[in-house]
Amino acid sequence: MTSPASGLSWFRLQHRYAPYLFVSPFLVLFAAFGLYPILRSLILAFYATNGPRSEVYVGLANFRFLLTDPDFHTAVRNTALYAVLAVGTQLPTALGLALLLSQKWLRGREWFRLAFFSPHLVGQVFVGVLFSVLFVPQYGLLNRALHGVTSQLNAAIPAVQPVPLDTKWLSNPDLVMPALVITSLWMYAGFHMIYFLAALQAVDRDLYEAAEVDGANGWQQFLAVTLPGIKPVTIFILVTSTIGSFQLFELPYIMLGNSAGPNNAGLTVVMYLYNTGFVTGDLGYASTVGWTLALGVLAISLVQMRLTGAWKGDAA
Amino acid sequence: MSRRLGLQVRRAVCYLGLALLAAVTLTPLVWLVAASTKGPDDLFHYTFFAPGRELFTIAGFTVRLPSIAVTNFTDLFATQPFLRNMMNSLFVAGATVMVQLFFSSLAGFALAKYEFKGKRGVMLLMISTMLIPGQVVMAPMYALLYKLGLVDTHLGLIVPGAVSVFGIFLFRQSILQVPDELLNKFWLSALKPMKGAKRYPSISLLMAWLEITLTTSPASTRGS
Repeated sequence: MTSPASGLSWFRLQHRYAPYLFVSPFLVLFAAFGLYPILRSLILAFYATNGPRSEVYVGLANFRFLLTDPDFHTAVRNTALYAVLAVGTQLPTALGLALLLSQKWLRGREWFRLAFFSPHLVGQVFVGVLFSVLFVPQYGLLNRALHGVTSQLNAAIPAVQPVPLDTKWLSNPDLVMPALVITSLWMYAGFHMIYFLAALQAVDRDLYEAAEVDGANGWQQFLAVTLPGIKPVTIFILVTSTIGSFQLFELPYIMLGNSAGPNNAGLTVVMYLYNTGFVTGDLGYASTVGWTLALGVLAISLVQMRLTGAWKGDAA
Repeated sequence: MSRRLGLQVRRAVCYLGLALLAAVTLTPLVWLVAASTKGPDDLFHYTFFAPGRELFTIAGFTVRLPSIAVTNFTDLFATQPFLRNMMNSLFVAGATVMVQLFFSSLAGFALAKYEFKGKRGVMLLMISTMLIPGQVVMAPMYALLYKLGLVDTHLGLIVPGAVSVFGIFLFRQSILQVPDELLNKFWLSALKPMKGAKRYPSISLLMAWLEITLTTSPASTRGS
């Protein structure tokens, strides 16, 4: 670094190799604790195992069994239904909340934001425990609130049937999925809202003014300015929340237990994976289930990104 | 004039709706706090707090203080090694955050501001691992930690959690916002690009904390 020339070449040298130096600590740890377990589980997918000691190579037999396994099919159906319902309720709610909270005239915005985000602070296991108590028949808070409100409504409008106080959310097969969706809506709507709020703040103010000059009403402004402005973030939330929904495990595991509720009504794919791997002890078949899920979710993500046109810009 | 009134009404409806939604959202948490102050007999007997000492009566309506039983809290520390558990969590979370911040900021910076061979490969690798559910790698991870002698240690919790794909992406995104001209100007001090990333530590701490408090940590099997 004594002469300008050597300083420049030193700069060039370090500029060329710096990124490798910066990425390498991550890569080393990632190779050991990210990549290795993943590849190991890929290999396991072709083995039948019984506990950690016995491994027998079975080729594609695990995958063939998967195609005819009724429990796996139930799990896929449940998980797909949950993903559609959960994403379909969480995203519109989150966007609605974000739109309300981004109004310029609103006072106490931080407090509302904190209130809506607060369910996410306690974590899935905690939420599972909390809601399994709230869903209790007779005494549970949810049934008492619903029963109270619908009874009042019934007095005014006879068409409204009161919700019975002994509604068995977690032991009626038809109500298990709604219970999970309600719980996840409570937990995640405020979380996605934060992303939407950040995206809404980044939309160019001038565009709204231009739209107003052109005589666009609120709804037209939303369609022409807001939606295109928040599109990349919306795609991001859509894809990540879909992936997260397909990996649902803790909530049903805590709320329904190993048995996954009546008639396996709350059995998700990852729960089935956990049961086969760690309860039955067949880590090989569990890996098969996991990899099938991963590939399926990858396909869904790619379709989502293609349909929403995420390829055309830098959506990430 | 009537348009002004309409605007006022619309705003009032907005406030009312938001307040109602916020109340519904917070009710389970309030119920939870109330539940922690009640004994098992009172848990479902009173909807929220158990009524305590009378304060005053207005028009036949008696206002009472809530009766707060602290036994749940004292029992927690008396019958469980809970203080120790919390210290474990705090230590592991703190260490994980520091290591994560260091590695994630380095990698995020490289991925945001450099073009180098293999960059696309690294990014693709990172994204694809997000698709694998955690339970798939649970068993191989445990076997690996066992081989390395890291089971039942704090290090066994910190090291696998030290790299966060999510963290790297957050850093990359915020560093991308920094204009290159600014970067060139401050190339030597290299402090400016951190400005956009200041929100990251709290998220990382929160994630690490939750991760550890909510999973049965190997370190806690050793007891107090």
